[in-house]
Amino acid sequence: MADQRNSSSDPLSSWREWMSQSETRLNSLFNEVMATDGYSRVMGTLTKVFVSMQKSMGEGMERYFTALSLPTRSDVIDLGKRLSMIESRLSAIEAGLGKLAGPAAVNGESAASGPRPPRTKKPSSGKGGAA
Amino acid sequence: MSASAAVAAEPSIGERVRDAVQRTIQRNIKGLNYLISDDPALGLTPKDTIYKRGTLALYHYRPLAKEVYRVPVLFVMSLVSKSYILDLAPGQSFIEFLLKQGYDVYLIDWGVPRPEDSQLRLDDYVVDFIPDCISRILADSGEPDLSIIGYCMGGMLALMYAALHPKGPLKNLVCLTTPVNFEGMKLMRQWTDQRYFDLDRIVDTLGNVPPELIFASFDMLRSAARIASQIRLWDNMWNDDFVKSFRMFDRWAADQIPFPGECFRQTTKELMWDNKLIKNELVLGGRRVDLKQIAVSFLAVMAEHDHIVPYESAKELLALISSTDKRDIILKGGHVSLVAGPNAVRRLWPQLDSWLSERSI
Repeated sequence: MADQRNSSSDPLSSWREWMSQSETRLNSLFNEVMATDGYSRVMGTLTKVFVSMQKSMGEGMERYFTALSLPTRSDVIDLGKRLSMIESRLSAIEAGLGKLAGPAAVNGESAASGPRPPRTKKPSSGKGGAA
Repeated sequence: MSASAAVAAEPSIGERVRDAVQRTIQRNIKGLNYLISDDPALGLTPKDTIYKRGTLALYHYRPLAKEVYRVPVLFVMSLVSKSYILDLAPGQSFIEFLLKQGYDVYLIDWGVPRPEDSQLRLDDYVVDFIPDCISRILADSGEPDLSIIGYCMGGMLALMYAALHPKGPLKNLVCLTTPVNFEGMKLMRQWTDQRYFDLDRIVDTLGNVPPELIFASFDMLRSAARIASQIRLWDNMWNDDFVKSFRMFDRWAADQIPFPGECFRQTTKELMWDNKLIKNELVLGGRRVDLKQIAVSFLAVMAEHDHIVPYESAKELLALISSTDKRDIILKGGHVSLVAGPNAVRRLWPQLDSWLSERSI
């Protein structure tokens, strides 16, 4: 009743309905176009152009940065790889120390959040999830 | 109701004009506020990071119930989306709901891949990262088994993990909008047509696939939706709840992350082109992913109007596994509204709780 009143009282309700239908129609139309071979071919060509441009720009920038004795993207990536390796080693050391110190230390951060509730909960009788 | 009562309930022209004027004023005032205010804070349910490895973070959410079910629950997220879709605002958070129902919840957040992560393959996620996180969850919870809920591509990773680890410790598996037959993803397949899509050149040049490309491809699946949603936002600018909800979803949808390059290459070649998952021909870590090996309690949930993982690409899941305790549910809604928002609160969450609670003791 309230919904009926709202929709009938709203002067824009027909426009909204029209917009929803238009959106559905446009989506279907675009999807039909995008499902054609021609569209895939055009997109493929555009992607190739974009990637080629990206590649030559990257190479140009790399040469430019090297000439200026500045770190290039690949230098930064290499640095990132080394940092990741250090992170992994630190995690391994942390895990090893945790094992030495016992279970309390392994769960150190979780233990900081306070005591855990008992794992004794049973589903309430109202729940029926059987297949 | 009598005809006279119906006429009495009908608002007068004066009331209609007044409503329209009020809404227009509110639209302008709140529209200005919308433009100058920050995005809402999301993913705020209290949690602890119990493990970190590169960009991967394993979260344990702090329990919100006085007692919890014995079996812990692990969420596995997609590789191309941020995990806070499962933990929007209080009252609209899937994770908060499960915590309040008495589940002990963990989540693998893959983080944002760095350029050096471009070498990661499906093998790394399924054979290394997921088992690593699971062993830490079992140690942290002190339990011998767990349930996994995978969303979208996360469901696919969980499915592959389950197939490769039939002897446990997995007890229950829930796959939400999980693709298994890539012939059903017609538009995506067409766009990555081998004749025109130079996959190797893209991955070799770019490393990780940029988030803009991922965002654009999802956006193109419903080309008119972006403009229509902006018009709807203007129309509903007077409605605080609508605006809040719009901002949360809009922020998440635009917050895509790069796809690790090698993983993208493998997914496109072996899944999108060769459809190896459904044929049981996919090999990860030197072992064949045979979905028939999955015998745990299994729930598949699909969305009726899912434009990203269409029903055709997910419907065969149940028939492919050996579980005797298995069920699938098709719910109204789309790919995102299945797990978050008012529809999810009414439909998916209670049904999932009902199914999982009996299997979590």
